[in-house]
Amino acid sequence: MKNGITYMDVTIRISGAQGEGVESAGRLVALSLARLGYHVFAFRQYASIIKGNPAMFYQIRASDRKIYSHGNWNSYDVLVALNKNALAAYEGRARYVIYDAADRQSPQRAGEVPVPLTEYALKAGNKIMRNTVAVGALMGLLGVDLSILAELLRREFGEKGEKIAEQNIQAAEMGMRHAVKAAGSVWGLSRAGERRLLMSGAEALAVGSILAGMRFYAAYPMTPASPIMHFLAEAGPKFGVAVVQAEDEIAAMNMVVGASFAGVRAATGTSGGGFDLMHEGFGLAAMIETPAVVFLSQRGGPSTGLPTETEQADLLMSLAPSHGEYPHAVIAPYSIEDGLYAAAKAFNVAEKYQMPVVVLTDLYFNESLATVDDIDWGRFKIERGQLVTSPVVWEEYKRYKLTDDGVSPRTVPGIPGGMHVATSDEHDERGDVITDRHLPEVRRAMHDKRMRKLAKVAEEMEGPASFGSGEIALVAWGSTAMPVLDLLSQRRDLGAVVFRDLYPLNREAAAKALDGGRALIDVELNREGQLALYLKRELGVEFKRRVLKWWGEPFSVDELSELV
Amino acid sequence: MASVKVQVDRKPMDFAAARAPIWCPGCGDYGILEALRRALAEVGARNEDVVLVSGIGCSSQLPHFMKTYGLHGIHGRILPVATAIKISNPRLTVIGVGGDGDGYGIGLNHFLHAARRNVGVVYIVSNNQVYGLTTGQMSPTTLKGVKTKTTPYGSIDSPVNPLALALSAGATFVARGFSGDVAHLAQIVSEALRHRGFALVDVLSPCVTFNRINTYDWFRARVYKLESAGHDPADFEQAYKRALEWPTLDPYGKIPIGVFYRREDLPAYEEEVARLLGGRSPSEAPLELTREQLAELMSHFG
Repeated sequence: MKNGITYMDVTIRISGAQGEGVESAGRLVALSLARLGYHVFAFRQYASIIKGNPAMFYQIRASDRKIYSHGNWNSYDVLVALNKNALAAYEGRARYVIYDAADRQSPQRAGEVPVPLTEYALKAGNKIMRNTVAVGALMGLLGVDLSILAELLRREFGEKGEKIAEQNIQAAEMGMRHAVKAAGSVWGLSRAGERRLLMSGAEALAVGSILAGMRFYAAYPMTPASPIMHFLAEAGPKFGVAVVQAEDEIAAMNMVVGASFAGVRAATGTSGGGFDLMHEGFGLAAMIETPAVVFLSQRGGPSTGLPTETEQADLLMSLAPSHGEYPHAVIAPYSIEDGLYAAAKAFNVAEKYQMPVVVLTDLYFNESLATVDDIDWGRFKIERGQLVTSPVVWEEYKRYKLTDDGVSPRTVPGIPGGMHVATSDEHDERGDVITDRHLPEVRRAMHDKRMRKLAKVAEEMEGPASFGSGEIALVAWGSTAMPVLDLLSQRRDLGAVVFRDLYPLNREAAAKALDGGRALIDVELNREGQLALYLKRELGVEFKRRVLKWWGEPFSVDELSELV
Repeated sequence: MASVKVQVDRKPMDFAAARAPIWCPGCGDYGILEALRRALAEVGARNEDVVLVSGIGCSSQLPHFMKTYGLHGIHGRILPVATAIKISNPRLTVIGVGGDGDGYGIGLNHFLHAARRNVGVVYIVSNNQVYGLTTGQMSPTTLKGVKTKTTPYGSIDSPVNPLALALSAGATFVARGFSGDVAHLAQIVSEALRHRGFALVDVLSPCVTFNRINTYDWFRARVYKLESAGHDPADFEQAYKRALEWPTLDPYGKIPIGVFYRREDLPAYEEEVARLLGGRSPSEAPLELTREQLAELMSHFG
């Protein structure tokens, strides 16, 4: 479809009631387009209810060039409306609208493609397949061959029996034939390249963790972090990953500390409220210098807040979650693909510096699906730092030896001679508790030792990534970079500075990226402009404007273009 | 316990660290420390294969006086830490040590879950019925009517019954010892160390500074040994009845000590985890994937 100037770029919104099959239809469409070799991004908007919410949607975008986000809010190419509410809510923004012929007597304008969804589903064997009929019709408009869909349906329903798979294929075929007859194969999509891998942000974190050698994961269910545990529970055992559903987040965090103390790379995942409960255990990891990784997936807060909607309001919390002063790191992947590498880096930083690390994402990141480019396998090198694997002399061994960089040799249970107590109380180089006496010199030395590690970690933190060269630079972090990067491909007047390794800050690189006389605009999904506050505090950076949003939606490309 | 390797001639003092305990003279925790060292010697444990996990409180200082690995964590979280250590490397002997406030108050939730999971951890609770390290407040096992700093008019809270709770939560080894009878306690701890799955050893452990009611003499006048009373630890209903004998409102009620209940036929949690992982523990799983494993992992996304 590339004609030298324009690219193929199609956006589809599938909408219906929660429980009506929007979720599976969305996945099916995204997977089909990824299999055809297109770059795909898919975002799901839903509510905290199992069945109901009349107009949830899945927005799927595909292109023959790299894309980072779901695209626009206010205009899309095709709306697939599974009920009247969805039709009324979104039809005005779509060029083509597929809906159930039973929902409207006769088309009211061009581009409407009524399809007898219910009738065909019943004909194929069950009303439940209305969504499959609709996907068939959509594929007809897009010009995608039925065979792609058939293959996926066989895989999807294979377990439930061949009959169900074949009924679904029949349902899709009827929908497809009807739509093509009514409107034609408008897009005529043919294969764009090799099949692409499609994964969610949560899955990227899970895969990155497995590749990083994580072999223990404990968590308590919480949206939007749960999909990490779902994937690990299913796929993890094959790779030696133990998954424990803990009784609460406090237990999960302390389990991570225990597994890690035993020498196994370990992580947990949660959202803001769960992380609140983890703070004390997070500080424990820092105090006893035991590696730990926490996937903190933000949603709207405070308290229960917006359980199924996105926000980036936990940045400041992630910079200082537990009481006291202690070293830790915060890394916020800025694309789904980057989730793979961010996870791997987190485990290395945690183990080399014997400290807890937060991987900071959000609902938009965790739950969106995206195709990933060729994976750079070289970025999963496992570095274990000062881990001791052979016997030591117990009388001489100092688990918390004072060193220049603050990192000491770490034995794990089973290593002869390496016995020591890792204690949450202040302790001396041997690990002996000192709090039964007043020993200010020891406290001073040990506190300094731990905090010294931050300087070394900062050297490993990458500076922000700069994109484009416009006079105005949008400054973003984490998933907000995704629509920002897409905006840059339309707006040559804009540049972007994207922060990923947030803490400790690589100050020199950060200052350099933000310097250059450009007007800086802070773009974040929170009300206070937390990155701007942080950068002002750390570097004295002044922002010309702040573009902020805190009502549960990610930024879209069209919205950003208007705002800046 | 299958993970303990038999070694010749281990002595209790082989498990002593250079540092002397810092407890008040006469504290019940000395009895627990001595019983634990004897039991570890008795089962022939190796120092480097033992991990002691404690929380916060006087008794949680215990790992510092042992020549073993130790994790002296935060208040109430002994069992999640211990559970994960045992799952990660089942060859280790994992022992939790803490007080009644730590385990039956702030950490009660974890106690029930460790019991139902049947994780192979020996959990020794130094039960002195008072908060000692914070200078004498009511604890979850303080008897009703007892005056403490926070119950100056006598406690109006009923005490928890840790043994009955453990039994109802599915614990497969439930015992009570007495710090004033170290030989008996050491025998119970040895049996707990050999047990498959979760083992609770609740220890009547007088606080000589802040608990003037439940003293050594007070306990000596009340305890009796289950094994001398013809108790069958295989009988769950009998065990539950014995567990309900104390705490009681009867000021002269008798207190059974010994093994209330045990069964060895249920798999431990770490065994179940290893079974899911194809017969290996997380610590035995290679860190890097083979080419075939990598292809398998990525096959989820096409």
